[in-house]
Amino acid sequence: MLNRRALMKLGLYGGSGALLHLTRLKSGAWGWAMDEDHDKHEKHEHDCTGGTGGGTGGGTGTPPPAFTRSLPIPAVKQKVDPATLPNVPLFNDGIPTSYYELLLLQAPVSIMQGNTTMIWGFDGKYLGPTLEANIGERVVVRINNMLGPGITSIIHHHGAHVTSEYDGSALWSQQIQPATYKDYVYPNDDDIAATHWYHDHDIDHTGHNVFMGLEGCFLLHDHVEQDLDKLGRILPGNPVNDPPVANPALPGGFELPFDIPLVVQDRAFNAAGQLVYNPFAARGFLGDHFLVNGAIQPIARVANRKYRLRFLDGSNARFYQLSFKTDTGVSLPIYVIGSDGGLLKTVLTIYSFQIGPAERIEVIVDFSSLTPGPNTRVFLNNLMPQTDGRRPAGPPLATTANVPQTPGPDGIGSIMTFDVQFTAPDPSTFNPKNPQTLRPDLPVFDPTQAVIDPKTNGLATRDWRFERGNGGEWLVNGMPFDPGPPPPFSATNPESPRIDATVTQNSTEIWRLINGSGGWWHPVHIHRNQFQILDRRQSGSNQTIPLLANEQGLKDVFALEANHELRVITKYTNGPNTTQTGKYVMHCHNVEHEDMRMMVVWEVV
Amino acid sequence: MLNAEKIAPTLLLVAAIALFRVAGDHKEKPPDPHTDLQAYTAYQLRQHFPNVTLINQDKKVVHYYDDLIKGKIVVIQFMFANCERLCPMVTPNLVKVQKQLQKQAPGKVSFVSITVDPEHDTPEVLKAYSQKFQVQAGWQFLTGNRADIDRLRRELGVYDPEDKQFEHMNVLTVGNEPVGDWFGIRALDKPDVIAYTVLRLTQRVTSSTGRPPASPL
Repeated sequence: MLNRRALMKLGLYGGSGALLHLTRLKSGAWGWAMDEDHDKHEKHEHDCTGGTGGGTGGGTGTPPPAFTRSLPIPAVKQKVDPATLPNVPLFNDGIPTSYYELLLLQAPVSIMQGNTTMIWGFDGKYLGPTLEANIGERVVVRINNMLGPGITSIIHHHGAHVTSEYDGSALWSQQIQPATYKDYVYPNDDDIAATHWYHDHDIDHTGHNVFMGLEGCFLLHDHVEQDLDKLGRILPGNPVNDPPVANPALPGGFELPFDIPLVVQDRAFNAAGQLVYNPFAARGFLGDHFLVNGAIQPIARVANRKYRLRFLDGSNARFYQLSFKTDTGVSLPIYVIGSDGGLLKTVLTIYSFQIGPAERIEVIVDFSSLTPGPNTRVFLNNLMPQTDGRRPAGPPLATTANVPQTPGPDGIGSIMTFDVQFTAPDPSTFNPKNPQTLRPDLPVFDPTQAVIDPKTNGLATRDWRFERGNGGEWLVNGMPFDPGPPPPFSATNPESPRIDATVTQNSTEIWRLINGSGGWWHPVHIHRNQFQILDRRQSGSNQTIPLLANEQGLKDVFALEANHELRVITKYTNGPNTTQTGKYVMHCHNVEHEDMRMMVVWEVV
Repeated sequence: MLNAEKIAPTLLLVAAIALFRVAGDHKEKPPDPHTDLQAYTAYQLRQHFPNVTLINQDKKVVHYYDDLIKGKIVVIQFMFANCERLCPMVTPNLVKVQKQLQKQAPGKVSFVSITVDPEHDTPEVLKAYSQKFQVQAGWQFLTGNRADIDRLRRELGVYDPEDKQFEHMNVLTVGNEPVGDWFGIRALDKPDVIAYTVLRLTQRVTSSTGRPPASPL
């Protein structure tokens, strides 16, 4: 909730001691009201993310020097009593259900030195709070759109199986109108433990809206992690056996967690310290400042032990190749344990990994070989050069390459550090050096169950060609996204986007994603399901290209590199408690390409 | 002989024009982003609209930002009269958009078509082109200096380096200038889709940050 100081900054602090505050209207939506009683707001003071100085547009905001800000870890969102949410859907089916409420707000946050930066954020935060749920636990999230007059939003739970009504596709019927709310119901009953996320998905504006901050993590947990513990293979950061420890060396007795989400973003700022989005960068917008969890080139103060790190590329268009390098020039091994859709079947060891927009990779990194001390530092380096939204500028540098401490415009450099300063016990017993089963129940989809269309050269159920058209259009199979006739909708005039595929529930399909766009890269995202990648090859060739480490597990985003084609397979199951039919989308998650209509609608019947 | 008394008013006029030009080049004091982020965003995005001089189909000299963009809700198209591939489809599509918007939001949206072939597309050619497609009032066709026009296109990202002839691109730029809501939209989208998208732009208003509307939209 906003406090008085934040409201004053927002220009909403009324005269004569009165205070404008958010209150719930009879409709159940939030609205502004005058309030003479300030006291009840004061306890929320700590929620104000505003930091240094009120500032004006003419003030200055400069990036903090590299490795001076502590890594922020977004707070876990707390449940609310559904009785506080008028008209919220209630369930009497015995399924555990948790309720949350989020506000979409414009708000000041402290990113730069000097001016605060105005962002659009969930609860006014950059990043939004982390939502957490167990598999089988239904989650209902009320999203209040308080962004301002005429500003709509759509929220997508990225990675989840959901009914299409709550999927958050870029369809008009899914827009949350200004000063209204939508209750999203996430069954979480046909997923496995995974690093999902939630973000804006509005029509024509996703690029701008996510750039301004409308992104947050959505973590799902399940029994497999607990079963791993029973097998004596405790993952670092396990909440039961390896919870955060209080660390008196950190200010305020700050806790040291061992399971950390790391959301990597490139952003652009002006001299006043404000975010600068270019809505005309339709080839893909790149920033030249590098943020992790909302802080520019932060430091994570860590202990000499194993950590579970959950990476998400929250950038609009940038691909990264990330490595861990000590200040003595040693590259640390990276033990890949998870992908978009959860844990891998078994751990894979590499020394750098590629991650593109919207992709997630879970890794274990072991700092135990390092001696804790004030100068023991491990750099997280980006080795992928990219100067244009269309694609990386070339192959990544070797992990041995020397890179600048602060990345230049090509993005190569150190985006954060892990300063190994503490000694802490490590109850995690998972030994990443010995291949051990992580996820024995990882779904395996059977290609012989898929109907093959001869038009795909016998390779797939459907072909999807991502390409450039006449006049530089962004097309899939020669066509742009067609939302159909605009609102108002009614029973007799329902929303009717063009539907490019109809999939039958519980069928298995192989989709071939083909990059026909002459050198562009497209991180393709398919809603509703998690997929396995069958193979990757050079277009028109029988030669397969080895899959990356994180491509061995479940995926919902596929790095469709220049002239590559990928075959992905899934079974379009329902959840045990829900039927998931209706309209879904597949699109390029270079969000500028998405806004320019590189998207198709498909349906499950 | 110079007469100071006669020259003074002229100097004043020149000075006034100079001041005006400065304003046109967006040197005005920035709004406070903390109190009106929309106005601040609009201020930032003005850099993409240099105030270059253009000539319209009626041979009137206009300034791009001051006369065509400032304070407006606008649809911008880049075209050329001899275009055989895209414009013969895009321009009639836009004519339908204009007709629909005249019904839904009369007088609220202006249309700007700028030639990418200024050597050929004189005001006379553009006039004939506009008459051929029977465009309505509120739609100007413009020509000018090629370097200026190339700059305008590059500022809006509306050029396709993979099209060797004119780098012509099938994208419209639409925006509500006072609130700084600008984006590209595919020029061959169905006219009702483009019209609805622009209609939504007319519902954006400048206001303090995050303040809800006085009445439901």
